[in-house]
Amino acid sequence: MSIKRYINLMILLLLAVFIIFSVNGAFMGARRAQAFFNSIPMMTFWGVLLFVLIAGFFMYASLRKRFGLMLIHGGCLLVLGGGVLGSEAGFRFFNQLFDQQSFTKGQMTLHQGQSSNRVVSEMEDSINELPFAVRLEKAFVEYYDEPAIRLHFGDAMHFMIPSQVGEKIEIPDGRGTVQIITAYKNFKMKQVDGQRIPYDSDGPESNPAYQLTITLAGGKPETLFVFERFPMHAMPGKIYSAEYVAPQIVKDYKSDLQVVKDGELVKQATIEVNKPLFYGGFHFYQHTFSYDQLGADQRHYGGIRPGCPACISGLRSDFHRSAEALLSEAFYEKVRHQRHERVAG
Amino acid sequence: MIIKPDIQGYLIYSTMLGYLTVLLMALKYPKQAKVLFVSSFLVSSAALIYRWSVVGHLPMQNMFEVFLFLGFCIWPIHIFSKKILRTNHSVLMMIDGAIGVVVLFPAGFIFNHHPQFLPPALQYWLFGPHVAAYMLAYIFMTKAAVFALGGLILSSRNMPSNNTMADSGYQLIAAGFPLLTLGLFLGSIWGKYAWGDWWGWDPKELWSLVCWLVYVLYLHVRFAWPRRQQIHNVLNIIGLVCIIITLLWVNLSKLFPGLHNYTS
Repeated sequence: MSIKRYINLMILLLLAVFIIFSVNGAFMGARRAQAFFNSIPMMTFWGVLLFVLIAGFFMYASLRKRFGLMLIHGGCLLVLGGGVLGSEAGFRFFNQLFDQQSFTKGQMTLHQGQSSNRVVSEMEDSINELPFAVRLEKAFVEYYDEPAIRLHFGDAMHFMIPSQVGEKIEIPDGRGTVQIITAYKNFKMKQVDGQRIPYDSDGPESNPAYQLTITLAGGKPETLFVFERFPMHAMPGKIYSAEYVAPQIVKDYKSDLQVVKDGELVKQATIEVNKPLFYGGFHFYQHTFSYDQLGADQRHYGGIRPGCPACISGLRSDFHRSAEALLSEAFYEKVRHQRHERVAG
Repeated sequence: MIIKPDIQGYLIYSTMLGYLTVLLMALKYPKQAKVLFVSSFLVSSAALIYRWSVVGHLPMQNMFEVFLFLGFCIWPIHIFSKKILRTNHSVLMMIDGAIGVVVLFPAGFIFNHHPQFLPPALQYWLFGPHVAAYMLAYIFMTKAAVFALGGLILSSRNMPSNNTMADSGYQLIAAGFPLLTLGLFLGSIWGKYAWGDWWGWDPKELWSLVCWLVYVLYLHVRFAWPRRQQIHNVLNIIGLVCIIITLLWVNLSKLFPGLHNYTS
C-alpha cells in the first residue's frame, strides 16, 4: 500500500471520528463540550489531524495547484493551528515559556460611576489586573415598547393606559377619568417651606415615575405616584390602586465606558451587544445587566469581559489576549419568560 | 397545524399551489410550467417582502421566517442548477417544485407567524449574510440528496442513468459546500464580536460542524473511491439528515440548550 493510499484512509478515518466526537459534543452542552475538546487526549487528535493536513500538502500536488483546494485546506490548517495555540492549554504553555502573567478571559462587574482594573477569571478563580482602569459612566437598557400604567379597582377590574402625559382618559363603566400629569426620569423629593415637593434629579441613578390625577365619578381629583422600582402600594381607604408596568421587550443593553490610564482619559465609547470596546489588546463586551438590591434607586451593572483583538489564527501572546463573552440572551430569555407569565397571569 | 387566514398565509399558500402545479405540469407542459415557476417565485418574493414590512427587520429570525426564506430561494437556485447540471429541464423543474412545496409547508402550516422583535443578540450586520449563506447551501444540499436518492432507487432497479444522478449530486454539493463553509466562517467572525470567541461549542455550532464534516467526508470518499457511487449517494443523504437535525431538532428540542435558540 502506497503512502498516499495510507494517508487517504487516515483522512477518512479521522473525519469519521471527528463527526462522532462532534455529535457526542452536541449532546453534552457547550460547557462540557468545550472541556472535552480541550482535553489532553483530544490534543493528540488535533495534532494528528494537523499532521495529516500538512502531509496532504506534500503528498497531493492538487492541493498546491488548485486555488480552491489550497484555500480550503490552508484555511483548515490555520483554524486548527490557531485553535491549538489559542486554547487554554496553549495559553498556559506560552505563559510558562515567556514567564508572563497574561490571561485569556474574565469578567468585570461594575456599578454606575465605578471604575476598576480587576478582572475575575472564570476558569481559574483568580483575579487579574489590567494595566488601565475601566469606568462605567452609565448603563442603560433600550426597549421596543413603552411603559404603561395599570389601574386596579376593588372589584377586580383593571385598566391599562399608555404613559403619555396630558391626555385625560375615561375609565370604563363611567367610573371617572385619569390623567398623567408629569413623567419623571429620576424622581426625588425635596423640602421646600416644610412641604415635600417632587422633582426630576440629574444624578446618575434613575427612578422612573409618573404623577397621576384620578377623578372618580362624583369625587374630587386625587394625586398619586407610580414608580418603576417600587411595587404597587395598597392605599388604605381607596377603592383603586395604580401600578407602573415597565417596558418588557429589550432592544439593546448599552454602557458608556471610559478607559483611564495613569489618571488620564484615553478612550471613551458606548458599548452594546455585538459592539465591544477595544483597547490595549482587550475587547470589552456587554455581558449582563441587572438592577441592584441594595438601594431603591441604585443601578447595578454586571460584566464586561476583556478580550482578544481580531487575531485570525487565534494566536494569543501578551499583546493578543483573548476573552470569552456571553450575550445577554440569558437575560433576554428571562425577560421573555416574565412576559409570558405576565400574559398568562 | 396552523392555518393562516391572512395576507401572509394567502401569499404562502398561492406560492405552494404554484410550485405544486409546476411539479404536476413540468413533464407535459414544460413551457407553461416555466412561466408558472417564475410567477410563483414572484409571489414568494411578495410573501417575503410583506413579512419584512410587518416585522421591520430581515425576516430570518425564527422558524417561520427561515422556511419562508427557503421557499423564496427555490427559483434562483433552480436557474443556477439548470446552468451547472445536464439534467433534463422538466425533471429539474419537478424536483424544485417538490422541494418548494416541502420547504414552504412548515411556514404555511406548522410554525406560527406572530411578529417578533429582533433581540439585541441578532442586531448585527452579519445576521443576514450568515443565515442566508446557510439557507442557500441547505437548498443545494437538499436537491443533491434528491438526486442521490434517485440514484439509489434507479440502481436498486438496475436502471441506467445512475451515473448522471450521482454526478448531479456532486455538482450540487460542489456548489453548496462553499456556501456552507461561508456560513461557518461568517458565524465565527460574528461570534468574535458578540461573545469574544470564534467558536463556542454550542450544540447548534457542533451540529453545523457535523454537517460540514459529513460533506467533507463525502468529498474525500469520492476522491478515494471514485466509482463507489452508492456510498457517495448514501453519504449525500446522511448529509441532508444532519442538516435537518441542525435546522429543526437542535432549535426545537430541549435536548440542546444553547446560544443559538432564538426561536419560540
